[in-house]
Amino acid sequence: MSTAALHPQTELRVDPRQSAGKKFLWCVRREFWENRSLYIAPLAVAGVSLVSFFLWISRLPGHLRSALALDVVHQHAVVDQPYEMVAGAMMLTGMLVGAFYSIDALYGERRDRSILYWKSLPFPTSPLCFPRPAFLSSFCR
Amino acid sequence: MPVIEARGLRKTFGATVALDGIDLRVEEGRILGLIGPNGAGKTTALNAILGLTPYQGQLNVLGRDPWTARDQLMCDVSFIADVAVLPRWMRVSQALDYVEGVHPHFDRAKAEGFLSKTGIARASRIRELSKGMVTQLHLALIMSVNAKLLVLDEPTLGLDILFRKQFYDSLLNDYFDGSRTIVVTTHQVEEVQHVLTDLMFIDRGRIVLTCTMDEFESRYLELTPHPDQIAAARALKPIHERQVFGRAVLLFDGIPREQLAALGEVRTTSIADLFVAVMTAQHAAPERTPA
Repeated sequence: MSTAALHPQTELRVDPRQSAGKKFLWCVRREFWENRSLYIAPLAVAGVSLVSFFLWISRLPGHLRSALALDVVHQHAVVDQPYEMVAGAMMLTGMLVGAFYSIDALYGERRDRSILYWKSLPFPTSPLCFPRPAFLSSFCR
Repeated sequence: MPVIEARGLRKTFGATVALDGIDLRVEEGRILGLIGPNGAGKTTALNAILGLTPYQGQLNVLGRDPWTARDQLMCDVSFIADVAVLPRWMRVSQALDYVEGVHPHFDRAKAEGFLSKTGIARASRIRELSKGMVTQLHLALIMSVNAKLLVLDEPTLGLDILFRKQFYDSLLNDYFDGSRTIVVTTHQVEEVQHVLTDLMFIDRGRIVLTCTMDEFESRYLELTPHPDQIAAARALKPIHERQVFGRAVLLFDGIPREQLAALGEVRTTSIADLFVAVMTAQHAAPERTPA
């Protein structure tokens, strides 16, 4: 008796090539499960920045009054500075997270031998690597 | 159509010959035990079958070439390469979600059913589970995949005897249904003796013995001769002789049971004893020069 006759419903379900996009999304999801710092670190920095901005806003009238006493160039600096600091912090976080992610990206699975588990699933081996170059290039920007 | 068919399968690593022209044919519904000493070429053969390594010669698995058509092949083939390969950072629930997401033949309800019989919590990370639990989880994932061929490479390595027994019991009772094919390599040969339908010994990249378990049981008999019958028994050319508690135990190939029964106590041998006999004979033979 063939397996198809025993389990007709599973034969009908999916042609593996149909769902390449879906598989890619699972790949991306897997990267986020494994490397939670990819989103936690930038979110944490963003959270801290937001709180600092709120604190800054609460003292905004005082800041503005002192800024008015300065010349135009210094006024510009006072207004710009917080934004530049936040942008710098976000970039630095991205670079650090990217560096730690990259260290493990090509060798981690081989070292703990879980590559054999991933290879036991019906997955084109090449797209397995696609999210990684995508992530890496986004950090390098 | 055979599930696995190999002709002249060959694989070399530099000057080392891992597989030296193997011919292999596994039909649907068989449970084949591939037994051999360390470095015999078992894992290389399985890797070739799973499309994990290139090879020379002809190889067909479910009608496909495993090296070029690996992606399609893995929809119908499952394997456990070693118990410790599940990614340690993953949660049990994530493992289920992931396989459900990417495997077209995965039955989640079945996996949940298997897991509910164990004490594994869905929220646990795999690194928090014991080795036995990781195996149970892996087995639950594998058994819920409707695969035509299951390849197990040392699946019970490092497990205690309870888990090993449970592993093979659930494989036979909950998974094997006569239309599936299983290939297993292991060093714990005593435990698979009653599981297998076919037996194959491999040594130094060559198949040195192949038979069905029915043939095994009728062909290979072990005789503990009466002390006065030892000479008569030895005249029948046993393939191996060993001493147990000071008494000779002789292993015969293809001598009728009735003929041996006249000389002493006869019983069916174990795979382990036959393995020792065959390997001793192999290694006594002069070493082949590498090609």
